[in-house]
Amino acid sequence: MKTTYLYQTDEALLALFANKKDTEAIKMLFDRYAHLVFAISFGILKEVHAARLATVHLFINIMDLAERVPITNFKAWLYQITRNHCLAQNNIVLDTADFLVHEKLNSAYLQELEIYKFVQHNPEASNALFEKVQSSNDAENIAELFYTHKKSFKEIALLVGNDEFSIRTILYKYRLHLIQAALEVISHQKLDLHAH
Amino acid sequence: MRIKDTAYIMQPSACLTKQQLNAYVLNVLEPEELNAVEFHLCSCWFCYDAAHALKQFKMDWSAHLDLDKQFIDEHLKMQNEIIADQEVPVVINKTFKNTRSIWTGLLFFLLLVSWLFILYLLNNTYHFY
Ligand SMILES: [Zn+2]
Repeated sequence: MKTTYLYQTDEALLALFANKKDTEAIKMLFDRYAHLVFAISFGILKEVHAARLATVHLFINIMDLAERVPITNFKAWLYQITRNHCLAQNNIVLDTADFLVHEKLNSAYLQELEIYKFVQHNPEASNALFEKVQSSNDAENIAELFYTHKKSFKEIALLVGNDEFSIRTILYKYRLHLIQAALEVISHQKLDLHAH
Repeated sequence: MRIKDTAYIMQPSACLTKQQLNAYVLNVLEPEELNAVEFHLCSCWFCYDAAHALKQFKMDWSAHLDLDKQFIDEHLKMQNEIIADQEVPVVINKTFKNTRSIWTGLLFFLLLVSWLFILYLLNNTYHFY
């Protein structure tokens, strides 16, 4: 595999395949995500052979779709088609929400990128954000244990008397609150710029 | 909250590799790498769903996560099927052409026989007169 491909974005690799029929680019994407696609497929189909086949067929379909479908965020799109493909194979009727996963994840990804750039350039605003985060004391303690003291989900679960799954959910929600607070600050700053 | 580094919490991180996913499921990651993996799981639904699905069965998944060979095999198989599908109409055409030439030949043969028969009749008529 070409080593330069290691540093290419997913979308750049997909474009290389769509425009130049570069199969090495698809192999790189396969290397990055096939195991995740397999695991998600296995989670839904509950059968190793079926999950392996679903993974391989999904990637073969991607080779066909890459030229015809505009894909702005490959990871979010792949997550959506994997879930939809396996749910449909299990005869589970998909609702509108299932088709919006890609869009939701894509906009979340773009927002996070914007926030990251913003807080990098405005360290003082970054500090102020924590005052605005609307979360419980428990969530703050868990975030502190995880981000500052580098405790694992399992260790935190034992400390606070909860399960690992709940700890991850609490941390995920804490991050969401932080994102909301950051978005508010960014939009205020944009409004101020307009006013001046 | 005593930690005040949003940039740290929001920093982008890469999805789990095959090895990281398997080691996470088996609980054999070193503390530093475990923290990096769980840091990513806090923001990525793709990896979180994947890890959650495999964690239901605490076994070594490495053999199942290696799908390269199957991908290449299936891809070749599909390509061969496409080629075979494209060849089918050609085969049909050949048979169609063959049957057509048989019928044309038969028609010419019948025409020839009928002409010969007419000539034979004419020949007989001359003899009669
Ligand atoms: Zn991920």
